[in-house]
Amino acid sequence: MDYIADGFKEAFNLLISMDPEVYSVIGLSLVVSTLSALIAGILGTVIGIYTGLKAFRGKRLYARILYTMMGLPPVVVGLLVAILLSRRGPMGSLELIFTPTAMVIAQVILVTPIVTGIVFNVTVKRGREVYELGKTLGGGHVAILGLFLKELKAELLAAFVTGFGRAVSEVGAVMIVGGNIQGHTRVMTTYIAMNNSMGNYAKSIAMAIVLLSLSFLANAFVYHAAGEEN
Amino acid sequence: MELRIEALVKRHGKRLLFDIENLRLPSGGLYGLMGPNGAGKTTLLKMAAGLDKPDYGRILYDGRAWHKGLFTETTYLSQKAYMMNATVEDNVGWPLEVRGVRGLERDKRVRLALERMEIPELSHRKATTLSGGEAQKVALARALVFEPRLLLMDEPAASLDRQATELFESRLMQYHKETGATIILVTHSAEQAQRCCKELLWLQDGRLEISMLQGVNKLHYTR
Repeated sequence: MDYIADGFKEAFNLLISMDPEVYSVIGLSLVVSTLSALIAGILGTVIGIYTGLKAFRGKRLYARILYTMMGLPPVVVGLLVAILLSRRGPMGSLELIFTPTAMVIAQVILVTPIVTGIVFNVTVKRGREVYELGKTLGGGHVAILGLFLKELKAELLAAFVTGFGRAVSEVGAVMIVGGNIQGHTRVMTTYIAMNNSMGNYAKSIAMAIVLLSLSFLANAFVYHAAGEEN
Repeated sequence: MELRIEALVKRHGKRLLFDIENLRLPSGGLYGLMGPNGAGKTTLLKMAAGLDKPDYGRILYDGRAWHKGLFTETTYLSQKAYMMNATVEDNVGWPLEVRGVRGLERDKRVRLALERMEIPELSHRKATTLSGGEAQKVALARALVFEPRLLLMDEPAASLDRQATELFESRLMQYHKETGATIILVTHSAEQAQRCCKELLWLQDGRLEISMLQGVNKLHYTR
C-alpha cells in the first residue's frame, strides 16, 4: 500500500516542480477540451433550442435517437474520425490525423449530442413558456433569444460544463485520432493511461489530481455563474 | 382591433375541438368567453394570440390575416403567468425595453403601472419569489404597460382572493375605458362575466355563440 502514499507525495513534488512536460500536457488538454466544449456548446444550444421548441413529425423518435447518442462510445467515434481523416481516408488530404485538430473534431462529435440532449430536454420542459412570454410581450427574435439565455442560464451552463467534463475526461477517441504523441497530442487522460501502464503511478496520480481539480473548478464556476450558491 | 373569425377548425387528434363558421367581434368590445372544461377556450385564445394555428380557416385582425407585427399590439395572459428570473420592476419594464423605451421614461411607466395595481412596494422584489396572487398582479401590470390593442386573458383572476379580484376587474375595465382596446376574458365565473363584460362568447360542443350578457344566466352555467 505504500506505493499509493508515495505516489501522492511524488505527485505533489511533480506538480510544484514545474515539469514542462506536465504543464504542456495540461495546457493542451485545456485548449482541446475548452475549444471542443465551446463549439459543441454553440451547436448543441442552437439545435437543442430549435428542435425543443419546434413541433414536428417524429419528435419522439428524434428524442430517443438523441438520448441514445448522448452515450456514444468514445472509441467508436475515434475510430470513425480516424477512418475519415487517415491518409487513405476520404478526408486524408487534409492531413489532420494525429493532430490536435483531429482531437477537437472527435470531441465535438462526442460532446454535441450531450449538450443538445440536455438543452433539448430543458427547452421541451420550460422553453415553450419562456418563448410564449417573449412573443406575447412583443419581443423580436434577438430579444427572445436573450430572454431565453437569461432564464435558462443555469441549465445551459450545466450543459456546457457537462460537455467540458466529458471532453476533458475522455481517453478513447483522443488516443485513436491523436496518437498520444509527446509534445504534440498528449493530453491528461492519455498521459495517465500511458504512465499507469508503465508503472509510473506518481505521474498518473499527479495528473489525476489536476483532472479532479479542474472538474471541481468547472462545477464551482457553474454554481457561481448561475447565482445559486448558498 | 376588430376580430373576424372565418371557418375556423381545430382538432386534437381525431377529436373535433371546434368548428366556428363566421363571427365578427367589433373593435373595442370587452367579451367574456365561457364554456365547459375542455371546450377549447384556451386553444381559441392562444390561436387569437398567434401562439397556435388552426387546421383550417383563419382569424382576421382589422381585416388582415395574422402577421408578426401583431405581437407588438397583442398580449396573452395565462391563469398562471410566467415570471422572469428578475425583479418585478425588470419584469414590467421588459415589454417597454423591447420597444425601445428606456431610461427615465421606462422607469416612469413601470412605476405608474405598479401603482395602478397597488403594488409599488414589490418593485425591487425578485418576481420568482412572489405569491400566486402577487404574480398575477405583476403579470397584469406587465401586460398593460405597453398598451396593447388586443388583450387576451385566460382566467387571469383564478388565483386571486376577492379583494384582489375586485382590483383586477376594476383595473381591467378602467384600461378598457381609457384605451378602447378589444379584450377577451376567459372566465368560469358568470358573476365576473356579468360585472366586466357586455357580450358573452359561449364555446361548447365545437360551436361558438355570441350573446348579450344577460344570456349568461339563461345558459344555466354551473362550474
